[in-house]
Amino acid sequence: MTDREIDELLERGVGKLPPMGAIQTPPASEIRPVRRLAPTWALALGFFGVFVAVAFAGASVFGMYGVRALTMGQRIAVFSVLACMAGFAAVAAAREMRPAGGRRIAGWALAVTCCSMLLGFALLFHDYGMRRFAAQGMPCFGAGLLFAVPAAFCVTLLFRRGFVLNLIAAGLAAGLMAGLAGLGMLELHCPNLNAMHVMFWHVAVVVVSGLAGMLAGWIITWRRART
Amino acid sequence: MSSTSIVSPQMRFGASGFITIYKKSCVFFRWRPPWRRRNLYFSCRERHTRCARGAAKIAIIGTSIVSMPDPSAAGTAESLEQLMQAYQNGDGAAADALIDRISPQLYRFFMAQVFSRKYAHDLLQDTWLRVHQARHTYRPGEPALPWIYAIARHVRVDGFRKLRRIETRERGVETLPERAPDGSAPGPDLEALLGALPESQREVIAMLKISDMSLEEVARATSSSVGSVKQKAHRGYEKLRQLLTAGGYGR
Repeated sequence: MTDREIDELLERGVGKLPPMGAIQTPPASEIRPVRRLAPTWALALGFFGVFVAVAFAGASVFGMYGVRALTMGQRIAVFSVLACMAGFAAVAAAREMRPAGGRRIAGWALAVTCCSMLLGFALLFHDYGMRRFAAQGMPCFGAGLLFAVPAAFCVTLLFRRGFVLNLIAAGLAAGLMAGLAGLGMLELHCPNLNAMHVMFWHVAVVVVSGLAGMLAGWIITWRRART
Repeated sequence: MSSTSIVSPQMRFGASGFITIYKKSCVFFRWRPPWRRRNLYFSCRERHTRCARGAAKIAIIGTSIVSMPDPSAAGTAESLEQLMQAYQNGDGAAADALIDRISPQLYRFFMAQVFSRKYAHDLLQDTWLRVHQARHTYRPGEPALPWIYAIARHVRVDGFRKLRRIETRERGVETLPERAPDGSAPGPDLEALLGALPESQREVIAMLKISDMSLEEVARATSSSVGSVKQKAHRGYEKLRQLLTAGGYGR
């Protein structure tokens, strides 16, 4: 069969439709002028601003020992990769705020960015020892998550301005944003340059925050389906 | 003077042999690498559709130049984007006009999806409710139809989840009468055909062929790329062709 024959079948198959009932329109009192949502680039900038603000606020509370321990080359490498990832997450979050807001960022692109971040840490930091791995790692992990919470709160406030259709994707983007803010704070504050420590405990903040955001989105979707 | 080459005759023979084996294998296994695949149908159809639309526009412009405008005419038809902007500015008449214009198209979209036939009217009403709630997110200058269809898609998915949950818990009290045949010529069961497709392919085919949207509009509505839409539609058509041929409707 040719594609045109399939087209004709499809058009014939829908066929005569039963009459469409009257659609209730909103009452005139409810149709008021609205303030339009900001463009996507402005929203993305807002999310990026939350990332920068929370990272610097947290590091200023705990102290910027991490920046002092890094060489200039390491600072440029680490913070440029962090900024790229935060940019990705900010654009993804901004696109989720409106229907047909733009192409979703492909999963493979996110995976490649995460792997490049891990690779970057592996190449920059050369101490692969596992001395006191958990004892030193758990406080870092906790501090990163602690600062991911206010970042998630700010990001959620921004999301409420838009109209999110896919709550799971939006939750993932919000979780990543919050996790990256926590990671940024850790990179500014934590003077431990052990490669395994950074690659596992610091990056785990981003992973756990992203998963938590996705779970929150799924729970809200599930509860809406029940009501 | 003899020229020397770094590629020995043996290497050249080996390379050409490899290429020959590769080409023969592709033909045998009916496989083409992605960069050699061209969805000629869609690119041709898209070109024909654009040519037809362009010709229609020229015809309309030509007619309007030749004929005198009717002074008693109510006004020129506004585009969807203009209606949407007026709706955002609080114009109730624009909202009514938008609903009147788009509702039949959305109704066909819901009716074409296997699950949503029974609940097409409820889904349509729910869609307009969400359009009203989300109207502040529409960006003037961007196409309005993909924006509305993005909302409609999610209304359909959310409705499917909710109603599947309800239906699995309900028991029928009485047997409903079977739907009477409409007397038309027997043809393939469209519900069964479309139901056999994955949801993403079914949705894309419904938007392209039943709602008559363009590839760019469908890509915007589904937050994906034009290439991805073409691929889904191509795969959907291949599956439909297989099913129709197996059912005895093909050649």
